[in-house]
Amino acid sequence: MTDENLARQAAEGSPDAFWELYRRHRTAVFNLTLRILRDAGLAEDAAHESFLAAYEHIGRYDEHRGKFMSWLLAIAHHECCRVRRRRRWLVFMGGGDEEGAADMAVSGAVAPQRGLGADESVDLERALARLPEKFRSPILLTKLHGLSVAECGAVLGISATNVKQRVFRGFQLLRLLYGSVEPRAAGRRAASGPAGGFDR
Amino acid sequence: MKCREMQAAVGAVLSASAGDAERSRVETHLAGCTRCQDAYAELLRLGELVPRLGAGEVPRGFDQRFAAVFAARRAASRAAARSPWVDTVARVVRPGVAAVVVAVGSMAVLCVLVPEQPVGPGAPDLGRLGATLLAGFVLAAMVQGVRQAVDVRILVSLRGRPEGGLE
Repeated sequence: MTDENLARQAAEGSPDAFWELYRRHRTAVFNLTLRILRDAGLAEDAAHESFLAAYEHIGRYDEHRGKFMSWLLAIAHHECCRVRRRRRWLVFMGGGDEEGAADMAVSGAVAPQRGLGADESVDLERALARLPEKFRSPILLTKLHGLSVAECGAVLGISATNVKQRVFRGFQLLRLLYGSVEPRAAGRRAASGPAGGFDR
Repeated sequence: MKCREMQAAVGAVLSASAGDAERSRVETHLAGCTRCQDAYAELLRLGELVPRLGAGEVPRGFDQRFAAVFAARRAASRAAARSPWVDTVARVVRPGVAAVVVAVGSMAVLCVLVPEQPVGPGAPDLGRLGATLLAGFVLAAMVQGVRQAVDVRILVSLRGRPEGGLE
């Protein structure tokens, strides 16, 4: 049964349909919140809040406007933005550390790699974590969650062209960051040289 | 065409959403620009690496904690979605009770401050004055409560009740 059918049933009052949607998407939602917030505890809370919001507002989901997954990830992204705003405010008030010592590769929440060396995977996660949020989210949504640029634009509230630009700039930056992770990538950095291209 | 103008098209290729036209524009540009060729090769390689980052499993106890939060939120939602008549009665009675408490308290203060009442034909009857004030308070509070309740019921009928999810 498709997500959209389940969402319709859930909106009509079937708790089983909602739990099936939860089971299908909890990992994707948690991975998105984890990679945006870079803190396992905050990511779990944000994922939970996202599902609660989806549960409360599932009647508003319109399958003609996009996939259920996009709608759910939009909620999760919105929740992450809220958490980040609150965290920034706490930092401003002197009550915490914005990064939260939140290197998920170190905190044990590192994702298992598929065809990547362990070092390569950790370095790539670190480089991704250092990307500014406006570039990281489009890359995550399109490359890891498989959304189209139009769906990604709908999630982030920007145009498809803007998504393409951000994906490009994000990868340009990622190229620099990935090449500068010390010390394992020293060889990679030497091989790649300074980032350039598409800039004249 | 300038290298910079290729950025969105390369972004489309990287996000696997480029159409034939965008792809051919990029290829045409790359055919005549060695500087961009190197950068493009590296970007493509990174673009292939990122999806290989696996999905981290949810932490242990994630589902149980969500079930607990979910149950708590549902209980709160049920409490909020109780019968509208209970709310209406509460809205009318609660201000009345509050007004009685305030009026009785005021009377008690008045009695303490003015222990000896002047007696005589021209003297004010503090008992009657107090009773009138009390009745006025209660009436005003209850009218306010009724007005609030009517407003809320009109709003609810216009907007529909707040969504109760899967209740």
